[in-house]
Amino acid sequence: MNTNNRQRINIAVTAMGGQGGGVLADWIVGMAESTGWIAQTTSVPGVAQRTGATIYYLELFQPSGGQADAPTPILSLSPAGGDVDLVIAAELMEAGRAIQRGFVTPDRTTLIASSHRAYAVSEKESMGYALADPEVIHQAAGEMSQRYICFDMEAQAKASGSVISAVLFGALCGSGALPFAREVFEQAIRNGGVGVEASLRAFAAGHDQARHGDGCTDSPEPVPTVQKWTYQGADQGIHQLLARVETDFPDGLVTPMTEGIRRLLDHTGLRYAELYVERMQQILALEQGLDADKTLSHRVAARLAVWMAYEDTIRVAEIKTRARRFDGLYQEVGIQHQQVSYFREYLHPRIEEVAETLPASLGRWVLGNRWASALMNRLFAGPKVVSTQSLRGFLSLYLVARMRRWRHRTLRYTLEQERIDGWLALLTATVRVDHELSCEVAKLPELIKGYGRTHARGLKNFGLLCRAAEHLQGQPDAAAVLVKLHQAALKSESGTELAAALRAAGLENLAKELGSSGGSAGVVQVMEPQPAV
Amino acid sequence: MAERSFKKEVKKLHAGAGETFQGEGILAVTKALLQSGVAYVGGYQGSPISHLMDVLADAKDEILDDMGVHFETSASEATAAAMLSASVNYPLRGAVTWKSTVGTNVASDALANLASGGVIGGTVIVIGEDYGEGSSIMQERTHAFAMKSHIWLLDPRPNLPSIVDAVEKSFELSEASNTPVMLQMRVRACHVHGHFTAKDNVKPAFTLTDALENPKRDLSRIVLPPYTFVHEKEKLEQRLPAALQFIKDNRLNEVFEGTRQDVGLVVQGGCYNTVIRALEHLGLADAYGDTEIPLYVLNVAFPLVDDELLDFARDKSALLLIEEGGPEFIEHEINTIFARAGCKTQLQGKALLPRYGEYTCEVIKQGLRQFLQQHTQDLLQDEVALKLVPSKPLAVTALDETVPARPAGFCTGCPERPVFSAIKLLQREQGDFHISCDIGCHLFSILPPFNLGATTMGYGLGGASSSAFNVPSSKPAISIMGDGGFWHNGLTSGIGNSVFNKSDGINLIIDNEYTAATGGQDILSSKASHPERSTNNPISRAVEGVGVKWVRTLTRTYDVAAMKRTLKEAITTKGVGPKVIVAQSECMLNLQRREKRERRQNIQDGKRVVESRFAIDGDTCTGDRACIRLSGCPSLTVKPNPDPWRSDPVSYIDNSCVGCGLCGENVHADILCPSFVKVEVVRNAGWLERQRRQLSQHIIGWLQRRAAKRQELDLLEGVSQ
Repeated sequence: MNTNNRQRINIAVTAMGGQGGGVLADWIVGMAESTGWIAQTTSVPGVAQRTGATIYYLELFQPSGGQADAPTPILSLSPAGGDVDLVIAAELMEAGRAIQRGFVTPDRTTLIASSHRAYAVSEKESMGYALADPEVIHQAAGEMSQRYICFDMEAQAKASGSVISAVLFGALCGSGALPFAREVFEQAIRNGGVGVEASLRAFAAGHDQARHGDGCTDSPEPVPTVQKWTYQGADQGIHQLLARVETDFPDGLVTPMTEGIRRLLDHTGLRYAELYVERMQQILALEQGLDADKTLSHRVAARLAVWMAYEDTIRVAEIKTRARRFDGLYQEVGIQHQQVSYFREYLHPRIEEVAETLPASLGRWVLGNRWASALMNRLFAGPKVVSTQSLRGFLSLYLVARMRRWRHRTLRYTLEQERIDGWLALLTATVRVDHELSCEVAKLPELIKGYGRTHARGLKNFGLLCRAAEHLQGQPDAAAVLVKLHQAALKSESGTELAAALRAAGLENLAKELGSSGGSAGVVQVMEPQPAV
Repeated sequence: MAERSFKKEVKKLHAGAGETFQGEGILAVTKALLQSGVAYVGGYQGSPISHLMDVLADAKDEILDDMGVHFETSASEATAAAMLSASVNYPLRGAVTWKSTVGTNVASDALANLASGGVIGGTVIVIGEDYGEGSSIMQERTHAFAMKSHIWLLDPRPNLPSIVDAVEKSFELSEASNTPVMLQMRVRACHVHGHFTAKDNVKPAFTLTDALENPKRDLSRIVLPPYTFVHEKEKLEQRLPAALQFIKDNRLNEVFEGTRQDVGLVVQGGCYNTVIRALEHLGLADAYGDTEIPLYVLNVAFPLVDDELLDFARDKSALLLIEEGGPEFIEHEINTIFARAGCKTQLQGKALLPRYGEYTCEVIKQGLRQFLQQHTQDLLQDEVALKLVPSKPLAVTALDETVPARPAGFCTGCPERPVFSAIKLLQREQGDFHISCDIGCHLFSILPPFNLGATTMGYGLGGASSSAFNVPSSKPAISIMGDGGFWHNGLTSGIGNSVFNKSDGINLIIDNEYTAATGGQDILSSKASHPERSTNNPISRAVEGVGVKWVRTLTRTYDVAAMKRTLKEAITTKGVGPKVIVAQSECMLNLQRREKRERRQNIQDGKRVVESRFAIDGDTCTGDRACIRLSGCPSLTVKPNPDPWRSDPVSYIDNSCVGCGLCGENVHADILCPSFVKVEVVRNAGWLERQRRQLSQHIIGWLQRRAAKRQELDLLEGVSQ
């Protein structure tokens, strides 16, 4: 066995477009050649530019003796499993892929990876939660590499005003995996000649954090949790409501209940928050009567508050005109508030949203009357770009936001309360028969998301699943079936999977309501030879 | 203007005799062409030789013109191959390049004619063999073309001295045998960084002008009976023996002697480095390639030299042939050679090595191990599939379910994306259409999140692929072509064909003003003005010229609603023949490269500059991500939901956003959510603008404070607002 040839160092760099993988490879080659090593690099470029990932592969060879007529080493053009000393991954999942491909082995590989994520399309486009779990990578990396150095190099690059390749180069230096002095590294950056100062800053940051130790050295991200909300103001009604929660609800529920109250005070006001507490009292009483654990109450506390704080035009207008939101945008884009800037809001209210902002009876009439609909549609609905930093644009949204005082009269309010009451009634009916099923029914409002068409689709799926839950009552595996249906509803916008799941659950009539998939092209997954007829 | 500039690197091409040349494989090829006294160069870009074309283009002013070398970017590989006809009657050395096997397919008519009549001047085709990892094309071998047309195929060892030497020898071989030569460069060899000792550049002794002023013709070189039969005879009786003699005399194939007498390896030149590494892993070679096992390296993959092979095989009981790709042409031929000569040496090849797929180190290692165990008494006998990588531990198995695939996709701000957003929206209304796709960036529409398109039959063949569907239907077929494919052959094969056959189909031409997928090279319709080329020839005029009556050009593809409207109009318009929609917006990569520089300058000069990017209101985004399913832009991404009561990630636009506007257009076209906001930042705003802004900020601030006070907003702040 001669593979642990210490004269040679094999390096694989995996990077995506715009991450400077090629620049990093050039720095390493430049550094090696300047110190008398023989260096070879190669890659398969092209796709990296277009969001794919590319492997740059380098071999550095230290000639023995330094004689001029020394034989030329034969260097390989692609990495071989088990024969890589150093893997540099410019993104976490690419580190995972390098491990999968066998490039990372415990006997010799130093793995340097950035912990940040560039999400793949499959993770982004999913209707549910599909983000890959970073812990899986950290664990595999810890197990498979000789050394694992990992931290958020993208964040450091940003902080230094540079790109990630410079931070990776710094981490490489800090890791001590290459037998070159820091000055040689820095000289390679200077020789590159582009953005030298920023690169050197990023290099130093990477270098220093790489010395913090092995494993992922990021400080853990705070996980958002529900905090107990306390009111510091003078409104007696709010104080009384919060006090009522303290006395009427078990300890575990007080924190989420105060958060729910906070959201509804923010959304509409005290009366509405009281309604929330009343509804919760009913659910709690049911569950207490059954002597069940408080899963249902907990779930409802969250779902009910989120639902009741629905996003109508008034709410959207209010959020968009708040100072806090302005400050957030300035910060996100990286400008000062005094700098001249414009916020162009892309809005597209449909006639439904317009009518739902009207008093309930008027709104219903408008929706039912062709002439009135057409007029309202022309006046208020349709695509708009509103500039919230101009007086005219701001005022129009500001005035809509002020309608929150009359929200309880709007059609949307009426509709939402009907739906919420329907859901609560279903919960009430279900919990008596099947506590587990009711806990799943409590999660169904998660399906209602978005605006316009997306919202309508969510609402339709929610309605279907509620009716499915009614049908399933009494079945021994009802909860499990409903979970499956819920997952199926999150598979695609077309609802093909949901229809199939409904059929599988014996709910043909509900499946029919989803309709056929509208002539969408069938996808042939595998071509198989067909027998001759 | 190409994506990558080689202006700096091409300066190296001046290197004289004895100087060390350091650089990429393709740059070395260019240097070798100059050292060979080449008179003309052409080709068509495509990975892995796109950069060769870019190097040549950048080298034009730097050195080619001074050296009297004519360079042009050919309209297609067929054009490039036909260009080589300059060497049929004149002692002119010419070289062309393209991506194979797709380019070879396109060029094969001209190639076959060229090979039949033969050449006087050396002609070399630098083939970028796109086989194996990272390949974007069907897995086939150029070898088949070499054999069928009798074109010699060189496959040099992948290091710069060998490659440079092979280029020089190719011209000589071509001249010695009156036959064109293909020089095969594998993907990684094209991009390998190394060094070699340069020679002086040589000006062509005979020039193209010399040829034009003293024209010559020779009827016997033209492919017409009776000469066609003469050519066939010449190929086998004169050119082949001459080539074999040259290959032998110049030792183009290499024998690396080893101490073992019983076994040996026959290796394609391009696989040599991997074979040595595999032997090293098995403990049978050192870092310099010294091994006890003799190697015969085929730097010439076709034709094979019988005597050399029989010599190498003599006294050996078995040989292992390492031949990548299928079918195993070389194996068949060596077996025939051995059988005819009565050679008893056993040839092993695809029986021990896989019949398909790239021959990676791991693959070759396994084949070698099996071969040596079977055919020697002493080597690797105790090893039972020794692996350097331990069998997969659980932690690695868990990765299989976690690590997501990363398919290629449209760049940030790409002007092609909105076209496919529009088609997706159209399909939602009208059901799916049959869509024929083409080669180019736009082919990414077949992948998520667009999932559009049923076939892709070749470059520029998107229109032609729909020709069978020229039948009455409420849903006409939609054909997509890029501007690159359109000029490559789509104008005739697609549009002309549809006009002639009175097709009612829809042709969507994605005009991003460059051949973007191959690195942003200019074409006929490019907007950039170019002193050496004629650009700005609109596609719409070309299609009108071949008889299309219904043409719509949309000059801002980001207008999703307009694109959808136009498509709808095309669908409902009947009886006017093919309908052509030109979706025209400049490739964002190129646009950015140009604009960034200008913008920086303008800001420095104190001019008013508006910079814009999109953002998403985290507070109104509910995490349904309908926007992502309609866009797929890399800058439109997600982040964990800050609201503990919502689990779904929320959409988020990162700093790479170039403010192309598609997000806003999609909001309007699909009635998405109200969370999208375009933030325009004005640099160097004028006095009046600043005053107006101050005034409105004053009033807005007062209103905001008033509302906040009434609603006690500061008391209501929490984890989510």
